[in-house]
Amino acid sequence: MKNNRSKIFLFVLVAAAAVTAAAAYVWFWRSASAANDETSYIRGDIESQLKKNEITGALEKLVNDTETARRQIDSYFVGADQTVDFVEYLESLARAAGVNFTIVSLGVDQAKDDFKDQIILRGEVTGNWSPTMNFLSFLENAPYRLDLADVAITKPEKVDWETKILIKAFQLKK
Amino acid sequence: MNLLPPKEKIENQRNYFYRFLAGLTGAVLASLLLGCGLLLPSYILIKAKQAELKANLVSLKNLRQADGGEKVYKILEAADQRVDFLLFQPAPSLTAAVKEILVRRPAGVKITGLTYHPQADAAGRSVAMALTGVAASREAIVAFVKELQTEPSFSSINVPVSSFAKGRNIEFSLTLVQNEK
Repeated sequence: MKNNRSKIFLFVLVAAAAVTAAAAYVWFWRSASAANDETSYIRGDIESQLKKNEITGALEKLVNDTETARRQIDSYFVGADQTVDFVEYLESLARAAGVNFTIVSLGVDQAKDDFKDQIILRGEVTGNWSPTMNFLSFLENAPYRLDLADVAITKPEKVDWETKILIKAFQLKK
Repeated sequence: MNLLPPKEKIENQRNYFYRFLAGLTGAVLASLLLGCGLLLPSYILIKAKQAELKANLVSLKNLRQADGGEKVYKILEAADQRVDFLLFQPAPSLTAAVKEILVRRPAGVKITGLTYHPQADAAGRSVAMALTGVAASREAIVAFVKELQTEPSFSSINVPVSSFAKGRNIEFSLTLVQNEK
């Protein structure tokens, strides 16, 4: 009887050890499987990050290669602190064309969610026909993006041609 | 032939069953322990590799953040916006329009005023222009209008009837629309 009890005890002990070993095996297997899956995802992330880095590297090269062109593009806009330079440039065009150019008003229309503000300049030009046309042509061909938004040219009796002009230029925001 | 008494026979069978069961359980235990033993190095290796890959990923991400990857996108996006804006052509040229008008001006017509007002609509950009002047005769105005009509970029050329009221030295006005060529 005692012999039987010890055998049963041994069996239960072995069975308990087997159950524990089975649980440990399952735990190891699931942990290894999860770690393996996670490693695969990380590998995928690394590959996509490498591609992203490669693209960003190419874009950086593009940014460097196009620096001159981008500066050229920016030059069509009035710089953030160059309003005075811009006005003086217009006055120099008037002098070159041989007309009198008077600035009646100058304002900046600030646009939200845009990279640029709008400079609105109203001016009056007086001079002979050809110089006036030359001045307008200079404005149209100026190295700035200018819109002649409104132009009224009149010839009062016995005086030079008078031109009222509304110029819109575009200023980069700071 | 088993000559043992039935009680011992049963006892022997039970003992055999216990031994068999204990042996089977022992074999299962042994194989599970062996499995655990074999899985453990793989698990450790996977964990180590995982940690290494995580570190790589973090360094790759940090590399671009340090380089200002986002800055590059912003620069290019800004350039793209500017190019898009500059590609939008301004209105037809004022001086070119004036040249076209003057070339078509017949003798006896004098221009004394001109307005130029660009406008944008669904059909594209156009310019509303108004001319004022003095014509020697009604025929000169008609000839001027006919000449302007030969220029395809000019449309909607209108002369108010009142411009024809006088017979000589007529102060006339004329409106037209210049469309993009």
